[in-house]
Amino acid sequence: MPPDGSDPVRRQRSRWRPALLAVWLPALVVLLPVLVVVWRGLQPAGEAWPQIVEARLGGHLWQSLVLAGSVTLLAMVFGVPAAWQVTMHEFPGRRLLEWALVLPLAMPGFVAAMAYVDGLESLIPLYVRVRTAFGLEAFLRVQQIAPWVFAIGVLAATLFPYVYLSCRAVFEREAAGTMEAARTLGAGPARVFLRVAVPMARPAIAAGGSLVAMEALNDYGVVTAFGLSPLTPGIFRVWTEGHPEAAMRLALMLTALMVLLVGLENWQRGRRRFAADPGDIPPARHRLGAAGAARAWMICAPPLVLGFLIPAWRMARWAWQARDRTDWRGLLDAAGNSLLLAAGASVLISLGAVTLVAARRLATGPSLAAAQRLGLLGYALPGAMVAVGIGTVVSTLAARPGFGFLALSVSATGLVAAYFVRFLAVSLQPVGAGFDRLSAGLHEAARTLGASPTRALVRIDLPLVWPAVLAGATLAFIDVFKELPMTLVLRPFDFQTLATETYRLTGESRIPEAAGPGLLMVAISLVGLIPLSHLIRRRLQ
Amino acid sequence: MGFIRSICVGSLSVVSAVVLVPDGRGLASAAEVVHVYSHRHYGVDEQLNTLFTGKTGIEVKVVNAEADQLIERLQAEGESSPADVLITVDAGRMQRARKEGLLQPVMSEVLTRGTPAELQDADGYWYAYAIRARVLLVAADRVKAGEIRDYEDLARPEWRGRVLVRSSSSSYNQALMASMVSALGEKRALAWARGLAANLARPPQGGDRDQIKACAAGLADVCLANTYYYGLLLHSADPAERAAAGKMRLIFPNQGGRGTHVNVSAAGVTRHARNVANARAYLEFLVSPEAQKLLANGGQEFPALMDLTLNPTQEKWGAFKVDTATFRQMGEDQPKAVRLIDAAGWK
Repeated sequence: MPPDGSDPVRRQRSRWRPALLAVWLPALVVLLPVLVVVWRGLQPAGEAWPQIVEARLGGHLWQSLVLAGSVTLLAMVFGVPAAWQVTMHEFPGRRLLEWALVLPLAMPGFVAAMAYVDGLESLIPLYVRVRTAFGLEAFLRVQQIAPWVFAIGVLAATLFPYVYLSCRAVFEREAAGTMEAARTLGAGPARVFLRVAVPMARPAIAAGGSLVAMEALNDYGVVTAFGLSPLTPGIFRVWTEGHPEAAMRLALMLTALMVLLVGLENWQRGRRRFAADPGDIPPARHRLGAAGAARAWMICAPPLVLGFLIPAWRMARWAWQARDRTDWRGLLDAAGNSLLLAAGASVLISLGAVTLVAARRLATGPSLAAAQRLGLLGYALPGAMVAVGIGTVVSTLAARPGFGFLALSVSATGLVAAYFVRFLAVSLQPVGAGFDRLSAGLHEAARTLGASPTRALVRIDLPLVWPAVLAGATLAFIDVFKELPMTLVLRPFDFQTLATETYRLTGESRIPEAAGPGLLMVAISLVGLIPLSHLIRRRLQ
Repeated sequence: MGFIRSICVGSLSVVSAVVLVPDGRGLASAAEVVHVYSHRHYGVDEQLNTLFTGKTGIEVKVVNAEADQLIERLQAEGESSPADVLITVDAGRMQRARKEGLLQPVMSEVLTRGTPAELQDADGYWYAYAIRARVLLVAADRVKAGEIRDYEDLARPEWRGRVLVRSSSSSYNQALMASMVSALGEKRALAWARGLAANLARPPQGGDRDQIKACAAGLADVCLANTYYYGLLLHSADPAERAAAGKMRLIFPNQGGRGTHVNVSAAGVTRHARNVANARAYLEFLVSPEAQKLLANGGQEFPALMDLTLNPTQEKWGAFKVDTATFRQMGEDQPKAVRLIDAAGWK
């Protein structure tokens, strides 16, 4: 009891108020690019803007919408039935498929795209036949459509695991009883799937689907490889052409699309929370006959083959063929840069996440919850927006005397800040969940025994949530490691990462040489991904 | 506790290592070195630099980036810039660099005699050391001699669905458009770009090499490409690429008029260079017969003085008339060109 007899809770709050600022810091960093982009986007954008509106805006917008829509739809077609097959049925190879279907997450879209770009070329004889058989107009239409087919296919085949994982989680928890009931009432497997499984998984499909749509809207590498120009590459192009205000206006539009998407997902989910008792009924898998097993394989294998096996196989072959031409020193340098950046950024991100979450142990107040929510915002912010926002902040700072060392061309400060903004949420979620599971009683007990709040946090809470922090750090590590567009525009001079090196060589049509760095990226992501697949699943719920 | 502390200390040192990527280049200005900011990163450049170091003992340190970024960085660094030499593959960019005060004139007889007068800066701020022409390549079996002669023909309606070209975001196309603007005027250049965009067999994708290969495979009948890409395909290690190039025929456009649009690999000494003598030696080396032969054969670019005997392939292509009239205007017309390309709907 304090000697002056004042209320201990009040004393605690007043004592921690100055620290509130430190706690808010990570959230403010996330907010910064948003404020900058909104502020600068509202300034007059010069004569470039009307010209962009007239010549490009419409195209960017409809391309973004068509892309996000079709990729999401196709990812659902890939993901939902596959999840249903591996959770509800027992057939030879099921266990293998169950985890293998996550593999495409380790295959960044722009790396997979490399393995398909030459497909456009090898289909030329077919196009020529279309021209001779159906005439010039049909040929030209096919030419317009072909890059879309490839881009949508590659994106859906590498992103569908988000849908697959979220649906699998729901089916595992909830489907057993319902499905038995439906079967007993005489419904066939197709009917059970359409009438029972899909409606049941709707919130999960919406959750996974919205992640897919976000990634599709954020994509830069795949769409540029196939010559499409939705908003994200459009923003970067305007930015590099030297029209920052116009780029920011486009970035605001993209952000509006993202917000719309999050709203759509919330609406889809509505009040349909997961209702059944989790984990009470172990899924009783229905054993399939030969025909059923073949059908299950035909449903599960295509996305896996398209999104992982074909690109991995082709790249491995190219890397082998190009082994004499490969610049091994450059490759090692790039790998070192990638690892260092990803490690540094994920440490910073973890510190930020722990600060935001642990603060709630030390003090109370509605502003802390708000700060945490702000931290989660970053994942819905388009990479292009974060890049132009952070880029502007850093160049403004670097222009001041004495701050030249910050300049984008010399230091990775801006890049690391951009990673922080965009991927804080990735680590915040597992860390938050870790703290939520932890009983507050332990912390209270330590306090009762005389430990200061900080001491209790460091000695009691942190060691217990350590695994969650580590998991969050690994997730952030993988995301940073694979990141392309922000790295392209914000990296220091003459500084390659595996991602930028793959992209550069692909852009120069030196595909066999691009396979080396691409493959290395996939391999390192895999090492982190496999133990984490269950964690991603939790993040989706 | 000790564990957590060591983690914290370790992580902070990682963070500081990442945030402050060591620059390393700025301070070490050892006696015999030349710092080059270059847009070029071809294999032949490394051979050139090794050769230069072998002959002079001067080490070449290269920073690679896009030309616009290099110019931006030179501006930002000002006097403290470590760069001695700027190299780009676009005369327009060199003209801009000079206008921004980033280069210094170099008076050297070796240089003035080593590059053609029309393709160098009048006051010696930069010199061309290799030339590339943007030409038409036609499918030899489907396009008759004389069926297409000029850039202007690409916009004619009979070529609908038969033309391939890479994206308009490429500086090669922007430079070509700039030359069209200065030759035809804005209105006719816009109409030309519209016609070209309407004639494309597919939306632009890939690089110059991809256009050539796609033409050879039958997707279209004519494409625009830089000469050295064609040369590199002809000499490719991949037999399929050699076969593809073999199906194409090269046409130097506008020979009856202003000549073929060319661009240059060009070098200039930076305004605040610390190793001016080494920089000058490097520039002079680039136009030396030995370097020129390497550039012509390794990179398939035309030698600065168009001595076609250096490379048998180029000798076979034959001499051609170069469009020198629009060349000097390129930098000035580029912003206009980008605007018109956009308006024309050339993606």
